[in-house]
Amino acid sequence: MIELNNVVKTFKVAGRTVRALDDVTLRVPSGKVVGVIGSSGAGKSTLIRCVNLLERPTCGEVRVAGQNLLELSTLDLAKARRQIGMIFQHFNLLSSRTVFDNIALPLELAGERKPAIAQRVRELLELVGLTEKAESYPSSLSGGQKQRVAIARTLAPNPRVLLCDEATSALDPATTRSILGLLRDINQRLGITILLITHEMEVVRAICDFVAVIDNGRLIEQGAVHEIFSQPQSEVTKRFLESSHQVSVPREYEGRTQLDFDDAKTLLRLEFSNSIGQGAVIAELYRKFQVSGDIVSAHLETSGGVKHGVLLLELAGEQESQTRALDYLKDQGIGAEVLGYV
Amino acid sequence: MSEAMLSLFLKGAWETVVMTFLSGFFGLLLGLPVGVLLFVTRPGQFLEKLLVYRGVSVLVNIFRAIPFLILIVWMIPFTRFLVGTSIGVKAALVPLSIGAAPFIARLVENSLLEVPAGLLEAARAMGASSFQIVTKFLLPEALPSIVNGMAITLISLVGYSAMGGAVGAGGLGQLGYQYGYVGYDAVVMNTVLVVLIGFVFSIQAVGDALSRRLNHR
Repeated sequence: MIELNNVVKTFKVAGRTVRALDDVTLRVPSGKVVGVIGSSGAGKSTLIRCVNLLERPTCGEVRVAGQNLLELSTLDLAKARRQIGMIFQHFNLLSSRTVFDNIALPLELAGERKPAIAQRVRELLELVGLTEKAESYPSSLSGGQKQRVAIARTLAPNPRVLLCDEATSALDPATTRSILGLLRDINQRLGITILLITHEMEVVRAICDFVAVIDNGRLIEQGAVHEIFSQPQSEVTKRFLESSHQVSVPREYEGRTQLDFDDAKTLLRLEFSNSIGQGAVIAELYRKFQVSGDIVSAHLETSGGVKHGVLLLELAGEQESQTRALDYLKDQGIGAEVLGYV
Repeated sequence: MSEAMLSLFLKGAWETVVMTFLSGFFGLLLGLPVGVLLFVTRPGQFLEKLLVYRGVSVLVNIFRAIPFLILIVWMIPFTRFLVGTSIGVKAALVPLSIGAAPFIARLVENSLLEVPAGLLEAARAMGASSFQIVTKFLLPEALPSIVNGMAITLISLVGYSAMGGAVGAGGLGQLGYQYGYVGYDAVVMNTVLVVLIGFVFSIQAVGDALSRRLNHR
């Protein structure tokens, strides 16, 4: 549905040229949800703006629904853009229009007739669950409600593609979940293809089928979400995966950990990022090496049918058994890091 | 105050109202498109045209630099050509409108600058034409601020029209000048002042109320 071929975008900043996008090639299959993840300044914002030509690529090709957008006249581009909806981090609603009139706006632009507009707006209000707010102004709505209005507005002309520019980054976690749920629903019920950019792994995990990782203007890794999550290749991807595991050493351990073994227990940080069952591995560990363990904290998730996450384990037993246990873990392909001894 | 004086007052007040609001209206008619042009051709805007922007900007600055009293005199040939006379309310409307227009253009440009850039991005993403961006997005969103700016403009015009009165434009200015400054009638002069102050306060109050009503931010 969306095809970016060897897209390059350069900016002139204070006299020198910056490559915001460097030879980016990306495909978004019809009916799928694709996420591009990257830290701020990685070029993801430029990337999504190149899809509807809010930014014109310096070179390369942009195709949406088979149309080469760069070849279109201004008028045809405006028409093509009606098929490409976009929602934003800061919603970008008109403060001077009511919820109803905001949703009606793209239909007015397209020159639809009033009764047809009213009917369509009512359908959309129902879809996003804001029927009672039709006559309210955006300033009286919560962030989540504003984004729902923005989504309804974007869906009004029946687009085939939806671009989401950090659509949940200004929202709290609960609201984020409900907006992501709505997007997933729209994707499945209406078959709308979604391309989103984000800096949060949770967003990718929650709704994406495919993910691409962007760093320094380059797509360094892309594939199905479960593949990338189970076998991340690049350091950047690994960092993103790690950052989404919210496991830290509890405060009461911080003062107690020491650097020498000294007959103590080992505080281990185990990373599961492939298909090995954590339960089985730990059971095996206890049985084979006469060690015992206590789980301090853990963050484990399943996405794309693959379990991954981080586990902090307090390992007790003879020093030799502990060393052998550690070697065993490494042989199993589990990232094991000794954080200290307690 | 005699009955004759009272009728002079009513006539003067009416002329001041007409001059203020009509020149405000014509000034807006001229200034609004120029303000929009200044905004859309600005560097980085969606119809960026540096040459147009600089040219119009210089022209606006030149007109804003001319002191109003000199503008009236300087424009006399043009005023005669346009309305056939250089004396009276009709004649005063020409320099008043021309004097207000560049001021209004800058106010409009500034009001448009307050519209969040993200909104224009959304407009372009929606496939809005440049004309639609101006009429459906920019102007409605900037309206409360433009109304505030117009209140300021009209208040300046009350003052300008009084200045025009001194050189034969009619209105309360002329009354105050003739009976106050030349004839030194303290009652007339002070009454003119009080009425002008009343005008200014009313315009500000109506402007504030209207802007507040239109503002849903």
